[in-house]
Amino acid sequence: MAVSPVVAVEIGTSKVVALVGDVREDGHIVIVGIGEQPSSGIRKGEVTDVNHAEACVRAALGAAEETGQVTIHQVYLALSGGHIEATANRGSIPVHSANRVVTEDDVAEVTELARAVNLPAERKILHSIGQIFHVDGERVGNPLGFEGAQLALDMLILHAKNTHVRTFVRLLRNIQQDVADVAFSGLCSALAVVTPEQKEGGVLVIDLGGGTTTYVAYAAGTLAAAGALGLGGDHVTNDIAQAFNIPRSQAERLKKEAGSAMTDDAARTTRVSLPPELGYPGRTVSMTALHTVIHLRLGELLNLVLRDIDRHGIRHQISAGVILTGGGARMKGIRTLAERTFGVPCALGIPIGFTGQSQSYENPEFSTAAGLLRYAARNAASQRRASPLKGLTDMLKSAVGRKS
Amino acid sequence: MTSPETPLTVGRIVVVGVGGGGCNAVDAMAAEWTNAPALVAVNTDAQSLEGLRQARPLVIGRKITNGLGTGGDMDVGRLAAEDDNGPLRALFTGIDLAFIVTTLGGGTGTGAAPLVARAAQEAGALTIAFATLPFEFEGEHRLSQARQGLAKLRDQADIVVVVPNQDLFAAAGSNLPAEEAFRLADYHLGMGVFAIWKLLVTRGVINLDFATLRQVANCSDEACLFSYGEGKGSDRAADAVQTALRSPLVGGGKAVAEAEAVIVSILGGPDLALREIESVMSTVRGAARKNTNLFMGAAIDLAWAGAVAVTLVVSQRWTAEEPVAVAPAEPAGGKAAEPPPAKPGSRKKRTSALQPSLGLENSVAKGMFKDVESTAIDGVDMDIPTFIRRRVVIEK
Repeated sequence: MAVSPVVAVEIGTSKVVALVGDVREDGHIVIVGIGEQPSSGIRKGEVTDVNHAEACVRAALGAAEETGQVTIHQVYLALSGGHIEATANRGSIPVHSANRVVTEDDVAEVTELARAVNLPAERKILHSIGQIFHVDGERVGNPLGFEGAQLALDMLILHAKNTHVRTFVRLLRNIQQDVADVAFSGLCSALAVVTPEQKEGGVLVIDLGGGTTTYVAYAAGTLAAAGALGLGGDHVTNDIAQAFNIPRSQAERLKKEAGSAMTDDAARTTRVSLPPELGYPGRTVSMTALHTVIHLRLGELLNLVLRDIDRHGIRHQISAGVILTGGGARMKGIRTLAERTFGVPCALGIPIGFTGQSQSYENPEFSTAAGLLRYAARNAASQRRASPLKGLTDMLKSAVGRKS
Repeated sequence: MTSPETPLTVGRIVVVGVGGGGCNAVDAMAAEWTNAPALVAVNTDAQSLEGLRQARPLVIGRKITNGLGTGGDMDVGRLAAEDDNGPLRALFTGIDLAFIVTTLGGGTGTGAAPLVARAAQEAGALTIAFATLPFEFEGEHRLSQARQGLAKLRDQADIVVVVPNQDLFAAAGSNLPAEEAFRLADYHLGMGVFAIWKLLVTRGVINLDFATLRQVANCSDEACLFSYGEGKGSDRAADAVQTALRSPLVGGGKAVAEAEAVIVSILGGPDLALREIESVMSTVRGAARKNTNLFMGAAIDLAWAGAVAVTLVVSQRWTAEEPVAVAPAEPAGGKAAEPPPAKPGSRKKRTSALQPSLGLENSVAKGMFKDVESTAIDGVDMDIPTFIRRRVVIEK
């Protein structure tokens, strides 16, 4: 069966990315089209100017259409922003059958119950992801056929501010695009960069974006924690601009060209020069001072993530380490800083298992969009396979919960 | 200068719009007013002045720009005003009260308005500047230009009333078309000028006189904020004052709670009841600190029969006792700190080291995040640079 290409759009704070992917029968994804546009009208993952944002998305989609030789009518959208939260919820039911063996009906019922979390009206559920089944308190992978009196399921519900979701969907509708689904960008990034072995071993994926930082953690093969902070690379830039009283453009360049998240004693006397710009005279900046500003901000940011991980009580379950991805993962010294913060090895995450336009899968900045393609491909596949029997196996196998 | 006792007449008031936005706002005001004072539109762009209906045009900086505008460069705006200082000064001959209306961020408004204000000052007029700050979408360049312009304007004018457009925008809903947003900003500017002007020149039930205004100017070191509310029907007074108090332009009432002085202007028709004036005043009194100076005036205008408008001009108190760079982050919606001891009623000192008001003290450090919702964690505004919050000294 021919599968039509899927399109992933990430409307980030620093750039808009559109990827077109051909999904092979075996699930492999070839990236055939790519469009990238510096963002405008987006701050901290949220739309601040609809017209500017719209123009950027239109430009990115146009470029993706051109390189991919396709016409795009429908897209998947990655959602970011500090308003996204995760809530854990447990559903628990008595096993119904006379012989106390768990049936598909029991599983469906407990799933329904675990999903039915009470959220304020302004929240929109993005994903309900099944974590762990318990039969009479014993942890089981697949409860079908187990005998017991009580069946419970823990779920992680990822939810966002409804108005923010609607703003993005409306924005895409305004440029004649249907939104097939909206996915949490942190989850997408993880889908792109994590291997099943890492998920099994326990891993924390942190996507350091321009305006937001998102993270998801897997323990024992299932999603264990997720979250987002309205803090990112822009904050580093702003801190530098404030520290040295220089314009934002100069701060951005200083960050990229000379920045480091760790201070280096050898560089104590080194100074980095800034060329004159826009009426600002040229000057020099102490390398140590620059690195201290960055170190303080990023150290604080990673500690906030650590605090959340601790809140979920899974700090000691991420033994496969930390994976840093997103544009901020390019910052020099950030892996050392993360290793010290989390006490585990840390790696740079780039999309794995993709072929096609190489700039898109060899770059941490494209993790979210590439992962969203994978999310879209699975979503489409599970819909094709959907049987009257609720596609239960899909739900159990897939790390990605379907929309409620 | 006239003595404060002399009644102010329309003939001694002038309203000057500076720059494209200011000119439009002034011209738009003219259409709404009866018995309007002299209106002048000052711009570098000669063509844009041709479209005005009411205001008298004055092109400045022809030598530099050929009448073609500044291209958004505030230095060009400043040079233009310096070049034509003569005609600018002539505008204020025999004037007691000058309103300067401008939209900060562009070239002419930002660069020239401080010099226009200075010309008014030097002519001895009480100078009240109304200035909008750009919408966030207008970009970082215009924002930073606006901030510089605001600082200069504050050094020159007696009172600077600021309308942060972005807050206006927030109140109106983010779906507002841009054109509509700009019109709304113009409307607010117009209402601000109108409210003060009306109080001074109309024979009010309770007059706000010129001397009072000077007094407010003297205790206002900072830029003022203002907000506006209208009401109709049986609860019109309560509706109007609540709208004005809750306006995002005064931080949803936070600015009133922390104000040094508040001017309350009540505008109504002949049916305005004393009880309504009382209720407005007690509501504002309740929202402010105990020792806040409240000045009020109520004016009657036939056109306002059946309706009430309340305008608040909020003069910020001097907050900065220490350099902002090490000011601890105040928890969001935090408690109002004890006010610093009232300063002697001396003329305000004008130094460029003035701490910005409007919660701008944080926005200085917040830089590019000043107009977006703060990222607050445990009540700490995380947009403020980490090194500032931790008080780490950074070698410049």
